[in-house]
Amino acid sequence: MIPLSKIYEMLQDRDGNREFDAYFHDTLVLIGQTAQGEAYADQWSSPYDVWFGLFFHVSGAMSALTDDYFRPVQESSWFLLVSITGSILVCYLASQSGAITSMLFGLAVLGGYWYGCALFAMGQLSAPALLPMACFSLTICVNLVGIFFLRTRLADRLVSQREREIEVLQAEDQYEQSEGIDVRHVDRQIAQTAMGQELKADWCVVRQKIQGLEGDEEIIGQFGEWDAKEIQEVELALSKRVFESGRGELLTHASAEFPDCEVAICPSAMAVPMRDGPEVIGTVVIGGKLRERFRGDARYQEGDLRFLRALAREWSDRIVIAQYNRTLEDRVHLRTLDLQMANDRLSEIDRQKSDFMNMVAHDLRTPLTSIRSYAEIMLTYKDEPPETYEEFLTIINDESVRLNGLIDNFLDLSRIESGSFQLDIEATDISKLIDHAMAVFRGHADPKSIKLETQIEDELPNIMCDGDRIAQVLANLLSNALKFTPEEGEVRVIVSAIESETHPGEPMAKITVADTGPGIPEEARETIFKKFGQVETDDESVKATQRKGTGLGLPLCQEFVEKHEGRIWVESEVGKGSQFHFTLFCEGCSLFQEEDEVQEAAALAEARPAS
Amino acid sequence: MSLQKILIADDEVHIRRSLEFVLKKEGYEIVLAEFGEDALAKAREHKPQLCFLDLQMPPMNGDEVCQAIKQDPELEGTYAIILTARGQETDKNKIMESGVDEYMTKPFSPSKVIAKVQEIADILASS
Repeated sequence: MIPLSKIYEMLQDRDGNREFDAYFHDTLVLIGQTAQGEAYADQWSSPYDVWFGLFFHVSGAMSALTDDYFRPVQESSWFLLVSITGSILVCYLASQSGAITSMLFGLAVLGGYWYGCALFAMGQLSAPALLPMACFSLTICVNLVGIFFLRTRLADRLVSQREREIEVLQAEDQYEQSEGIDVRHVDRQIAQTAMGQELKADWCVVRQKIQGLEGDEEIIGQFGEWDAKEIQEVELALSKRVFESGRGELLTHASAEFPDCEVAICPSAMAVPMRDGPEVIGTVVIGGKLRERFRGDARYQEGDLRFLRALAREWSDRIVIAQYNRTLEDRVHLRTLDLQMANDRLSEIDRQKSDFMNMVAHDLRTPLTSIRSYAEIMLTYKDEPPETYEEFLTIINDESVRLNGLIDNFLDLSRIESGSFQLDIEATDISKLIDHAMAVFRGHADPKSIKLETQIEDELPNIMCDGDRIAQVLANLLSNALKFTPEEGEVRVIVSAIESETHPGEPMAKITVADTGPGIPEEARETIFKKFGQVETDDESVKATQRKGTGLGLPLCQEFVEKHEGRIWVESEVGKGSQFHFTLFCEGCSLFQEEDEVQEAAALAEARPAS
Repeated sequence: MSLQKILIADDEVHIRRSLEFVLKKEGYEIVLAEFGEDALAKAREHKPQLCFLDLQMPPMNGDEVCQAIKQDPELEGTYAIILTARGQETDKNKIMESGVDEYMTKPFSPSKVIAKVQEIADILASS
């Protein structure tokens, strides 16, 4: 007789006994895992009970064939027939499904025992043989009945658990349906069907191709018992295959291809593509076949694959719509952001415009106030000496000129803004421009006792400039200098020859208007040349300083000078005064010759009739 | 308190001159200032009863001068008028925060200035 301990050892060390293993493999694993995983919780029996039950009926079978007690039974041709036929049947069933093998095997052996008992009753078997026979029979019965009910209960429990999951999915699904079709919504629908009555999957994984990422697929939904390492391996491999081939994949025996994926983990799996036209946009991989795992056919077949494929076609459409919805939402969102930004920008421009209008109004009102005041004074006080009237009339005249100049500035700036501004550059004697400006501003300097001086370098070549514009620049700078210089102060205009920094070797003239006014603080120096609204600062004091000063004059000066390819800047020390410098190219420099040529060439090209 | 001395602070010489001319005709003593700091110094020196302060006098603004005058205990009771070429509500609020008594928007006519000064003279006389 083969000792029980020996069989027990063989079962314990399954890996070392491939022959034994092959015979009982699926069954033992199924029963073992079922028992270990679930039986304890259910209090049906301990895992060792099940193991021992199995050992007993195996050893029972062995001893029935070898023990001397059973010799008469063994000699019976019926017994041999039942035993051998039963064993062959069991072997076949075990190799086929691994599901109900153990039970049938047990029943076959049991049949042999009871046949032995019948022989005994007929007086052909000895009494001592009955005791072990009865023990074996009892153990086997208890275990088989136990295992049978255990499986049924376990299966039912898993099924009801899965059904609850599906109910949750349905509930979520209905909730999301009210929010429009979404990818998440579609993958739940897929899971519901896959794990429902028709396909009975244990797990279901839905993948979708991320747009723009070749070969990188995003898992958009995982349902059921997908988290085992072996299942993830099978899922990934199948999904990859489907993405590559675009065809459905069926794994009837998962363990045939993935040895780690034992029947208890996942007996069978299949995968189908989801398409948008010819392009594979996603995959659905399902596996298991939950209920059938315990009741015979646990394998997916071709029919199941066809069914899943048909479902996938419908799901594909939904995914495409869902994706389109998502893109549409993104696009609407982006468009909204664009519009928001455009709106902000327009509001900002509107604000700048209104600030600008305020500043223009302020600038224009100042001379207008003088004109109006003096006109009214002259109308009110009629008995003043003629000198007073002359003084007032001079003021009215000067302020009218100033008002006119401001309007010119304003129009020039708007012409520059609109791009319709043209310079009329020619060789000009700068000293004449300066003398002219001096003559005008002397009238402003004298009442304040301001010393107005010029200092022009000898033999200075002519300047390449638009005389009217440079006169405007000088007038603006001088007007500011005189305005800010206190009584008894000094304003000087200095012209010196220099060499261009940007175009080495080219002659330039530097014109400086220096005053002894209060000076300009450093933070304001950078902003005074900017047009109103261009100053990007939150510093109120900087804004205020800019507002206070010179209106459009300095920005316009900068535009004019830069149109001449020159540069304008300011140096200043608070409390001591400011020096405004600007540079202009002199006659004979290559820059303006080139420009002339370019302009001539352009004029010629325009004049030529289009061919 | 009777109104005798008036400070006129404006960086525009012609506006100073026109106010000076008109108010001198009314018999007031006039103190002129071109800049904000100058105006404050002259207010402390001459202690005028009324100050005309232009809002925009770089680098010290009329409202800053006004605030300094109103905070100076020696200049208590000085009436301050801010002159401005703008009339926006936001500006008005900001100017009013400085404690100014009134503000006048340019351009203004001499007759209105005289009427306003007369009104202030009456207020000061009754206080």
